[in-house]
Amino acid sequence: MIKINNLTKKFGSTVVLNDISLSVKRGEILGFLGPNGAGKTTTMKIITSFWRPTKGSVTIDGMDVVNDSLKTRAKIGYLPETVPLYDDMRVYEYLKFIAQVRGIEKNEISKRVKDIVRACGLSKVLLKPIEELSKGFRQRVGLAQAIVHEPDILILDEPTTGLDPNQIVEIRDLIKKIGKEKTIIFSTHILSEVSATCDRAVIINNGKIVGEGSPDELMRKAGGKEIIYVKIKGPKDEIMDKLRGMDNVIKAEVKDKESDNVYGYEIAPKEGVDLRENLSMAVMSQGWSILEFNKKSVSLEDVFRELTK
Amino acid sequence: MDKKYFKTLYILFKKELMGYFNSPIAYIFIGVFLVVGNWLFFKNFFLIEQASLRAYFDLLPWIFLFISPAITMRLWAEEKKSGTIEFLLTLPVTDWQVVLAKFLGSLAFMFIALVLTVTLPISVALLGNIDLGPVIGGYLGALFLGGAYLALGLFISSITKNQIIAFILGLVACFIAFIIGADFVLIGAPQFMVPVLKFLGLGSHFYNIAKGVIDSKDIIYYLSFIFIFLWLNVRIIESRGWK
Repeated sequence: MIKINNLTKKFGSTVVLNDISLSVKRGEILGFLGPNGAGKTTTMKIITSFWRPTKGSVTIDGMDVVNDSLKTRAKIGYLPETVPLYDDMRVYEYLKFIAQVRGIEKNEISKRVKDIVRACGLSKVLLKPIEELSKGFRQRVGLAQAIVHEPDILILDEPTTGLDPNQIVEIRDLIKKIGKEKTIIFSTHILSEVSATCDRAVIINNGKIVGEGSPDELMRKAGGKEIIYVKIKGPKDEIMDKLRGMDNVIKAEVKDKESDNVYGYEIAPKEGVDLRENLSMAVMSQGWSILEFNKKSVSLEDVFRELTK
Repeated sequence: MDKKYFKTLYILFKKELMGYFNSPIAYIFIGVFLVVGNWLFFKNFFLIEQASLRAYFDLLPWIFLFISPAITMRLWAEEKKSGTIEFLLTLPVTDWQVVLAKFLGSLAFMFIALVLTVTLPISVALLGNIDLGPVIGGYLGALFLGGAYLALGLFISSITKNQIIAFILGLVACFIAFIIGADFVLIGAPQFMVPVLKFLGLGSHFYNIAKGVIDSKDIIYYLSFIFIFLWLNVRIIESRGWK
């Protein structure tokens, strides 16, 4: 559906995007990850025809975003990062204006606006001037504006920044709901958001793609190792000997100390081996007791930090 | 150029025009325009004792000089500053549609302000015999001159993010364009430049029309002036060259 081919964007001599290629399938939710200034916004601005690529191309359903931009723009709903809205308009007036410009038939406009207002929970603020809205409502108006013409593609630039946790969950649910039928690209630097909403994530840094795959795949790629943390009551040295002596253990070390004979240990098993059962039996058979047991896996944060260092 | 093109243009135009009336500025604006124009006119009217609007139309270009850049200063500058331009230009509309909508919106606003000055010819007509030709010519000329100022001001607004800069530069540009063909400039200019300057100046064409002499030459001049600056405006928007 969306194809980005060898996209390069320069501002003067600064290279913002360096030869990026990427394709997004219909119905996919793609998370676009990267530190600030990595090129996420620039990519989105090129997809939406706001900026032209220096080199390379972007096509939507085979149509080029530069040469066929009126057609591609009609297919896209776009929420820019700063959520620019016409502050002196009222919410209803604004949504109606967008619906009209988007070419929705006259007799359908009020129904469509009503649907969108319900979907985005805007009925309370319908007659308020946009400048009086809270950040959360602004974001919803921005989202409403982006979906009023039922676009095939949604481009959302950091749709949840600056919102409180409740609002973030709401917006995220809204995206998921809309995303059932649509192709969505959204950028973020909140990583939990990606695992919560995306089918696939692309990590971009310094204008280059440095990682790509489903959130799980990405995590596996970044290390694949898991670490087991146990807190055991018993003599430290004997326990260490026992742990090191076990099969499939690569590494075992004392992590922290709770009291004189209660220590926390970290154990790295061989890849792909589930050590938990053997471990608990080994500990119990010695008469020691396990007070805490934890399997830590590599988080997306670790992947992100690893790839964007 | 089909029906849809003009429909979209009309929607954008309506939004631009409504934009003026969404804030109290429009009303203040029209109020000031009417008060200043009426006051300056009537101050001398009873001294001259002529049932003519000539003095008013002599005055109008100077009032417009301040009013027009004030109308146009925010049109692009504000869109750029608040970022709404990004959203506007990613809608399925052409750059020409957006520029035309802004221009026509500002022209319609100026037209409304002008319509409200009809109290002037009406009261003058009540006081004496008024010659309608120059009055109609005066209004027509004012609309063309206003259009030229607005096109120029709109273009200036597209090259900056700052409304105040847009206003001052717009004022200066309009002033230069107006004054360039005036007699006291021509005296100092080299001989071969005189006809050129005289043709280029916005002022001389205005006074021709305001006399009631409607010559296609003047009309074509204004339309080309407007077109050139709208075209330049579209180029600026296309290049996204304000960053």
